[in-house]
Amino acid sequence: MTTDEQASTWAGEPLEDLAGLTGGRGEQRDGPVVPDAALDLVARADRRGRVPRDASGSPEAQALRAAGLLDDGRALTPFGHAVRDHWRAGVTFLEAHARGERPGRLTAWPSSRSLLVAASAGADESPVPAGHVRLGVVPTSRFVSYLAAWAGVRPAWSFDLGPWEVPRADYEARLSPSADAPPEPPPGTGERAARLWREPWTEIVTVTPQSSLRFVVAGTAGALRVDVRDDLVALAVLPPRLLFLTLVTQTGAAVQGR
Amino acid sequence: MSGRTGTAVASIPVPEGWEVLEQTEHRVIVAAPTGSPAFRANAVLTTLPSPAPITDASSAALANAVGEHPGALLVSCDVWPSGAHPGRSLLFTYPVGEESEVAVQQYVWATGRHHVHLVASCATYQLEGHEPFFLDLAAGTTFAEDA
Repeated sequence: MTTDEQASTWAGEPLEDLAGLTGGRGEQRDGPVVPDAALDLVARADRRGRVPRDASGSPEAQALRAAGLLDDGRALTPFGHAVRDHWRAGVTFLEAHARGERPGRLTAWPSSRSLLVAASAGADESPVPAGHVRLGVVPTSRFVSYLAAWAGVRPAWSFDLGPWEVPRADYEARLSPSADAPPEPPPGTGERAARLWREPWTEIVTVTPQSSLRFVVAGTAGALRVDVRDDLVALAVLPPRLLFLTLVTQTGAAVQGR
Repeated sequence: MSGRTGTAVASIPVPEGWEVLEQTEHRVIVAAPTGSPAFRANAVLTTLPSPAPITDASSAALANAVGEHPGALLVSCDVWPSGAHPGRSLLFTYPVGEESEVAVQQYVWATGRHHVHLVASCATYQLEGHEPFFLDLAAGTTFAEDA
């Protein structure tokens, strides 16, 4: 067992090194991976579930066949029908958008006791190529953990910090992908905030018909609640436990439509 | 609350309406009122002799959560602020069967002579409602060696 020397100093007692934790990243993600354009082709299927004849030999159609959404001809399989129906209904259970270090998106559509999910690359450990999404059916009762894993929620020591305000421009610059070393925190940033600032940042916004939540996952250092106020952005530490409970509340409200 | 129950080393309050399912020298199990859908929330208090510090107890608990529950998601590990002994509060989830999932709020203390574990579980979607009970159980945990 190693200790987190910096966090231990701040806490005044030895603390485990949580950044070094391996495993515990949730269920293995499975389900077909398809290009975005292939999903568009599903949406273009006619009332009987047939994709346009002139597209049946396209790379997108081949991708749908490989993923089990299209039969050998140009007819959608039952899974393909389900995807098309959700896509067309336009009723989403939750959408999540990520930008920064790990840009991506996740869309969940309601489907009986499960959710149909299309997720691009997230902070989880199952890579999805750029321009593609992984399709899956996730039981509603497990969705919050699926979402939390995708968002990169993980244990991290949290110290009471914030809210503190940074110029919107600095915040946006911090989210911009850069091959260089992480930008230095704005002048006057405290030591604890600087530890978060120097980690890779991914901003995630989760939106349901009832509410939205904006937060930053700062690598292995923890999470921040984000409140955009015109030219300023207010940041406050959001302990992973509270973040998870907030997601439980948000998805629970979406299930109940409240 | 409706009384207390415990092992030879530690005891917990029993929330109103909860049932004591087992009580031995080393383990106590209490469960929420029956009728909860899908999964009956419960809490298990266990104690084992160990002089190892809380960092060891916590690391072992995190490793066990992953090792014993395929598909587990480790959510958090925090310093548990109250009590006479150093403690931790862990949160993780793991899938059960085809559709269900359990959320575990695990509290760990190292007394210098024992490691005390309070493992409180419920269906993840019930966590919002049960968390206050879990917090009360942890906050109300007392240790015989302090008496």
